[in-house]
Parts: sequence; structure tokens; C-alpha cells
Amino acid sequence: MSLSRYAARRLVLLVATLFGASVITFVLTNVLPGDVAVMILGTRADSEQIEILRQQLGLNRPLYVQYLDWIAGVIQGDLGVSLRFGDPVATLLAQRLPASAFLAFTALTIAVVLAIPLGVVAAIEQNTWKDFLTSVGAFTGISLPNFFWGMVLILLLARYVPLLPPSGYVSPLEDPPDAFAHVLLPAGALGFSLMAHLTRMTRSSLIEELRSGYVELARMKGLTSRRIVYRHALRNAFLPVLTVIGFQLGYLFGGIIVIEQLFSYPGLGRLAFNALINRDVPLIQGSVLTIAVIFMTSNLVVDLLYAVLDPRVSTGGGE
Amino acid sequence: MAAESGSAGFLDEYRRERIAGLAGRIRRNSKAVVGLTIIVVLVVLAVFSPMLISQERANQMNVQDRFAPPSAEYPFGTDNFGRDMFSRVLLGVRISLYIGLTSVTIAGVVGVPLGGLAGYAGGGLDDLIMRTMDVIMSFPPILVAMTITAVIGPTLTNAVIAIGIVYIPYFARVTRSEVISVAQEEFVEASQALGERDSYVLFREVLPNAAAPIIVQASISISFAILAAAGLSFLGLGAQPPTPAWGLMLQQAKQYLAQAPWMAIFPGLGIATTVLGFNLFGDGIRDVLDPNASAEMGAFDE
Repeated sequence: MSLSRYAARRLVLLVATLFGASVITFVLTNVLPGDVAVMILGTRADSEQIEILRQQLGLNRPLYVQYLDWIAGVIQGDLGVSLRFGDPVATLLAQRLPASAFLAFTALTIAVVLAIPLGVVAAIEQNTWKDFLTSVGAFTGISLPNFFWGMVLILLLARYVPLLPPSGYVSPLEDPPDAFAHVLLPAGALGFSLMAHLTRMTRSSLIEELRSGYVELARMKGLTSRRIVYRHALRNAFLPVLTVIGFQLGYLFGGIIVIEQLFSYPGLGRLAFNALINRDVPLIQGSVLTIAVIFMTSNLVVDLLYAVLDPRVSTGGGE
Repeated sequence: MAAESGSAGFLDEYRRERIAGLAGRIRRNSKAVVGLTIIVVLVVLAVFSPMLISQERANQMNVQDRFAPPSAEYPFGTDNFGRDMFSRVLLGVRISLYIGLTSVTIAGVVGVPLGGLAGYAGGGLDDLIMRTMDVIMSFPPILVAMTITAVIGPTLTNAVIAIGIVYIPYFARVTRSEVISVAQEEFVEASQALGERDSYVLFREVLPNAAAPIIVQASISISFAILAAAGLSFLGLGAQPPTPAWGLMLQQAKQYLAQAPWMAIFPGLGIATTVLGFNLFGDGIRDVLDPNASAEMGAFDE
């Protein structure tokens, strides 16, 4: 199977899965306790008013008709109107999306930039105190929830040594230095466990590469260790590292919900969480579906990248 | 029927030998041993802590002793209500194990047969089951768990059920791929040739031999479940006050971080120890089963 056919096949599968995801989202939000009409009019409204509004909103129609109506809108970019804010859901999502993207991207960058050198050092100096320290650090990073690291960071870098603001968001387009100051703590908390996973993966896959035949050959040819590690071994060790990034995307996107809450960060996760607490059904549907779309698309990008780097994936006939 | 008992007898012996060999290798793997030791200690604490510490002591508010730092009287200090953190953290062991074991049991009881069926039957049924699993996996796990908890109500038990549901696809995937490879083995063919029913072959011959990777998945999933439940409790969607659940304690500690950091440190240590124990154990078992597998693949593959 050629790479383009593999990509096309995955894309079709993605659309089909998203369709399923939209059904789950719709059904789950429709079985949420509470009546949307009551939510809008308040609990004091009389039953006649509620019935009229239910009629107007089309809530008395069969569920599948309501679903088809909703999904037809979604396809055209109309996600309905938020019950709480009165604004179109699509507008609200578009406002919050950049903040979350900035947060997730910074977290991923921090994790990769720190993890790869740490993993390389641990692999080259295997079984030394450096390796031991890295391993202990990595295991600790994996064993605690991200919001715990968030609390530690707030305590250390915002309270004890007030270097960075403990909450809020500034757009990187408006004031880049201030934007980075605001995003560093939440991104650090979000990226910490990913960094721990990546460090361990880099270490173990690099150790494996360094034991293989071509490294032996390169040594005999007189290549320097540095050149062997950075030009050859690390390159091949990157494939498993990419797999870990793929595996961890769910954790990253899920982590956004808790971390944005902890840092009062106005992103998609906080929007989704507040919508859920307020029973803002159209907003829940829109934000949950948006997070699913971003999550699945990122997964697809990682898989395709993997296929580009390792041709066996697409030629080997699939999953 | 004589043939059946004959083949089963031979297979039992084969299985026993394999398990005995495996146990020996596990004993020599330091990660597995450390992990298992931590787990055993936690289980002992969970069993005996209610006899040593009463629920009343853990919930008793000593207003004059609010925010007391760790001391001989209060080894882990007290919280904002003057409650003894030591008692609360210790009682939390039991809750944490309950969360991990129950949610993973739910995920396994549903996911393993589904994955087994998909792998063994193949074809349309395989597609139907696995594509459904894909749909569940198209959301970040905590997002689904959060939504389910909002639907069925924010309690600890509901959070555990939600996490269990979220992890079903992971068990189905692992089981399916293992079943596909085991089903090609000779003893399975032999048993099919003897005319055994498919359900017998799948549940008695194939699945028991596919158990090892499922155990690894279970051990690592327990860590995930504990972290996820802590996250849900932190958001107010899991355990409710005054339950001494570690995630909830962290949420309560949030406001008093600078004033009383011990309110966060000790529950945090509890979570870290438990998660580490199950992670190390799962990692160690995986190393033993497949020495070529890299140390990291699949850990927390949420």
C-alpha cells in the first residue's frame, strides 16, 4: 500500500469514527439530568411556558430527528447557541481555541526539548549517578497527577519566589514575553509527565540502537561518539519516541481540562468543564466534539509522520 | 469426552510449567519485586488501617489545632478543619485501591471478552467491535469520564464506573491482538480438530494463554485509574467531602498551599507510592514476558 493510499484510508476511517463520536456526544448530553427548557426559563416558570419553549426548541421531536438536525448544522459550522452566554457556540470555541493550542504546544515543546537531552545523557552514561537521577525523576514524574505538579510550581515559582504569574492568559500575538510568562507554569505542569515518559523512552531506545551492528561498524570506521549518537542512533531512536508522543496526546488533551481549571486559564478545557457544570448542552456538545476532532487529527498526524519515517507501516498492510 | 480430559490434562501441565518458569524470572526482576512489595504493603495497610484508625478520628475537627504542622501528636499535620492528616492519608489507601481495582475490573470484565471475541471471530464482528472501541477512544479518556460522571452524578463510585468504561477499549485491543497470535498456535488447532465448541476454545484454551499481556495492561491501568480518579475528585466530580480520598485532599489543599503545604505533600506521596508500585510491577512483568519490548511502550497509553 502506498503512503497516499494509507493516508486516504486513515482519513476515511477518521471521518467514520468522528461520526460515531458525534452520536455518543449527542446521546450522552441528551441523557444529562435536567431539562434545557427549565434551564432557560428557570425553575419558577409554569409548565405551560416550558411546554411552549420545548415546542419552539424542537425538544419534543424524536431523538434521531434532533440528532440529524444538530449534525446537519455541525457540518455547516453551526453548533447552536450557548444557553449561558447567548453567543454562538462556534464563536466561543474560536475564541478559546488559540489559548489551548498555545498551552498544549508549549507543553509539548518543553517536554521534547528537555526529555531528549536527558534521555541521551542517561543512555550514554548508563548506570551512573546521572542515569540513576534521571530515572528517579522520570518515575516520580509519571507517578503524580499533573495538577499536583501544577500546585508545586505555583507554590515554588509564584508564591515563594514570585517569578511568574500563578494564573491567567495573555495572547502571544499581543505581548509575547508576557504571554510566555503566563503560559510557562501551566505548560510545565501539563508537560511534566510527558517529559518523564519521553526521557525513559529516549533512554531505552537509544541504548538499544547503540548496541546494534551499524553503530559497531561506525565505531570501527572511526566516527566520534558524538557523531554516532546525534547523526545516526538518535535518528533511529526517534521512532519509538514518536510513538510515545502519540500515546500521550490523550493525556495532554485530557490534562488541559484539569490544568486550565487550576490556573484559571481561559481555554477550551475550562470552557468544556464549565459548560458541563452549568448543563449548557449546546456548548458541551460543541466543545466535546471539538476536543475529539483535535485529538483524533493529532493522532492521525503522528501516525502519518510515523509512516513517513518508517515505510514498513504503510507497506505492511495496516494496523 | 475422554479426548477432552486428555488434552486438558496435558495442557494443564504445560501451563503449570510455563507459570513456574515465569514466576522464577519475575523474582529476578528488581522492578517487579519492588513493585510487588509496594503493592503488598499497601494491601496490608488497606486491610488493617480501619482497625487502627477510626473513621471518627479521621473526620474529627479540632478547631484549635487547625493547620498544625507535622508533630508527634499529628505526624502528617492537620488540615483546615484541624483533622488529623495521618489518619486521613492512611484511610485513603483503602479508597485508592478500591478505585484502581474496581475500575480495572469493570474495564477487564467487559473489554477482555469483547477483544477475545473480535480476535477469535474476525470478519464483520471484529470490525463492529473494534470500530466501536475506536469511537470511545476518539475522546481523551478524562473527558469521557467527566461527561459520564456528570450524567450519572458526581460520586466516587460513579467516577470509578466512568473510568472503568473509558478503559474498556484498551483491554479489548490488547486482548484482541494477543488472541490473534495465540489462536495460531498448534494446541488451539488441535483442540479445534477435536471438535471443541468455539466458546470452549476461546475461553478455556486461548484466553488463559493470552493472560500475561492482559495482566500487564491491568497493572498499568490501575495506576491510570488512580490518577484519573484523583483528577475527577480535584474537579469536584469524584469523591465528595468528607471522604478521605487523596485527590479530594489535594483539591482542599490548593487554597492553603503556602500556609500548610503538608496538606498536599502527604496525599501526594500516597498517590505517588501507589501509582509507582503498580507501574513498576507492570513494567517488570512486561520486561520478563518480552525482553525486547522497550521499557516505555504502552505505559499510560491513555
